[in-house]
Amino acid sequence: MKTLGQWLSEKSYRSTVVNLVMLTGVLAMSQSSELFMAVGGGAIAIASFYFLLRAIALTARTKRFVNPYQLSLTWIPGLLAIVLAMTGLYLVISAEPFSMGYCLGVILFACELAMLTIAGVDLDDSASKSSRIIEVV
Amino acid sequence: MDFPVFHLDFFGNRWLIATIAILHVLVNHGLAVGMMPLVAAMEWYGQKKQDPRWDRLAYKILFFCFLITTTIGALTGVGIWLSVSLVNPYSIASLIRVFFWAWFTEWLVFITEVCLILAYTLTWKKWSNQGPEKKKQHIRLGFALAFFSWVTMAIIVAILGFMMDPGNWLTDHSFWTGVMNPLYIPQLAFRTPLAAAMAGIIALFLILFFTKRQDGFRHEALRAVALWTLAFAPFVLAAGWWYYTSVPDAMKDNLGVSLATLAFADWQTKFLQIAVVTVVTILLVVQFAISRPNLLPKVALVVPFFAILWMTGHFERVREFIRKPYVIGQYMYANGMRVDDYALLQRDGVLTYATYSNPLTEAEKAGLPERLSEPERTARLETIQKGKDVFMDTCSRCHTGHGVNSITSHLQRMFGDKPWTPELTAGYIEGMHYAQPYMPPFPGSKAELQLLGAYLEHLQHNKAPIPGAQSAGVIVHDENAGRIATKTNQTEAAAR
Ligand code: HEC
Repeated sequence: MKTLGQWLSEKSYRSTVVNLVMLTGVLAMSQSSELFMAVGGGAIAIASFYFLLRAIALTARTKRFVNPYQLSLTWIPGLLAIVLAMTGLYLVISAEPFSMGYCLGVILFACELAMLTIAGVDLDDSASKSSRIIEVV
Repeated sequence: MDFPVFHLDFFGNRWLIATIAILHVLVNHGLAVGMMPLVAAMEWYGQKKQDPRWDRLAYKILFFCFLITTTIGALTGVGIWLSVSLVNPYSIASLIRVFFWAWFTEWLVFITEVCLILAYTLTWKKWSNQGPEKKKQHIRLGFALAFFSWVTMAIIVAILGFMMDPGNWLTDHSFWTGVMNPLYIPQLAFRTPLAAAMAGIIALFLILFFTKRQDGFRHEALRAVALWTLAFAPFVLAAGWWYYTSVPDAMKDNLGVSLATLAFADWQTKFLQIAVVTVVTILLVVQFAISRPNLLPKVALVVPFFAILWMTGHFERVREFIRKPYVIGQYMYANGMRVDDYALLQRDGVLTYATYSNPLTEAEKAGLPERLSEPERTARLETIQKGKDVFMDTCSRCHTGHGVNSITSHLQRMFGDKPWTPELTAGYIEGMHYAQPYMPPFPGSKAELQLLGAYLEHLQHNKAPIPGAQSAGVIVHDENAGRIATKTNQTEAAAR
């Protein structure tokens, strides 16, 4: 049996994702759309910033080696996550607490925030891979 | 009333058409219109990259589509028109007169499409082995097939739009005004990306079957097809929005302002919700397929597929709903009678122009009051027979006797167990289009209102199913029955 600690440390993003999910849970329980808007929006902004920074850096670094198709694979998961997380946030804010729309919104928001974080970390991995390739070349 | 009345008394006639139509739209949009360009694009990409794995995958997907479209697709395609012309021959007749050349072209295009899909599938292996020139020709064949699939849809959508709202055709009766009806372009703009996105989702699903889990190509294919799907998803939303903002005008013309607003608000919220849910599920799958293709399970693809199914179903039902109480907006009521013919029918009665009578079965004759003398009984049955004919000609396109949307359940709700005497029902029926604007005005004469009332009273005591002409046959009622339609038929035909 792996302990929770081991599992969390296996991938760098796991603890972040767990934190985000707990944060979403607390926000959902608070039933305050202003709070959800402010803190949730802030979380999206930070995660977006993290992702966009890496995506831009990677794009700049690999500009000469990749085609538009590969480029779109770099950008799309994160951009979709931003759009969907905002959709989730919008649902949460516009629906009555604990209505169907609210719950779906919370789930969408949490999942997409996690996906956004993962998308950012993925770029780190592929960045180190591609820089290795560049060094070898 | 030049045709015998086909009738299904349990599910209702509309159910028959709806089932066939929705099945057809799924196969046509998902496996033909949207899929053929995707398959051709895969073949082209494989050729460009010199990667035979793309070629093999494209062929497998094509073969699957070939099997389904040439069987279920073709059968349901013909089935729609067969069932609609059984249920409402008058509307189809009018559409054929107005859109004669469109339908003729459709036939040519459809035959071409069938030949092309046969050629494209059957020459794949052989032409691929005959060098790059032949392969290029084969790819062109694929794109030609894609084009013709789209054209068949584009022509039919013109006719569907026309049925919802004929627009200026009502005054100028010209073919091209009919084609360019107000809902044509928005609807075509919506269906085109919907078809492409639908094909993308189905292709993702098929890729999971046609490739192995550990195969690196699986990931590559999932990612590329996910990108294809993603490219069309925003257009589904944008064109959906366009279509749905064009609908209120059409509906107002058909239904009257206040009810249209009410019904539309309802429909609007639902359509928007379903569209957003559908697009979100599509985006989720695309996101997953691109960032974690190895973890994408088959069931995940079932979700957007059902969302699309749900959206298509709602969309097709709404098409029916928008044009109520008409079958061709503001021109022909859903009972198959033209607005222009109403004055004549209400003066002379619908039975005057009815060629056929729908005989009562023995079971339908049960439930008469007891202790009637023989002449009284005969007279009563004669009245009921005429009342039934009125019912079949004016109500049975939308109502069954005892099944779905049955007339008896409505009367039961309204009048309970009181006797449904003609005095009680005839007054309501005379103004039924005010009480329930989804219904056309009663087309018959005052005397026929009483006949219909007597028949409805009989239905309170008789639960036998009402058979259609397909099972009970017809009596030729009056060979010399007047034909109201002749003049208008000529107007319709001359306009093209
Ligand atoms: C265009 C199709 C159509 C035709 C033709 C039609 N109806 Fe209806 N009718 C409807 C619909 C739709 C409803 C509403 C059903 C509902 O709300 O559940 C309805 C409802 C009714 C109701 C209940 C009304 C109420 O206020 O609840 C009665 C009674 C009725 N119809 C009788 C008739 C009779 C009699 C005829 C023939 C003369 C007829 N209908 C023809 C479509 C039609």
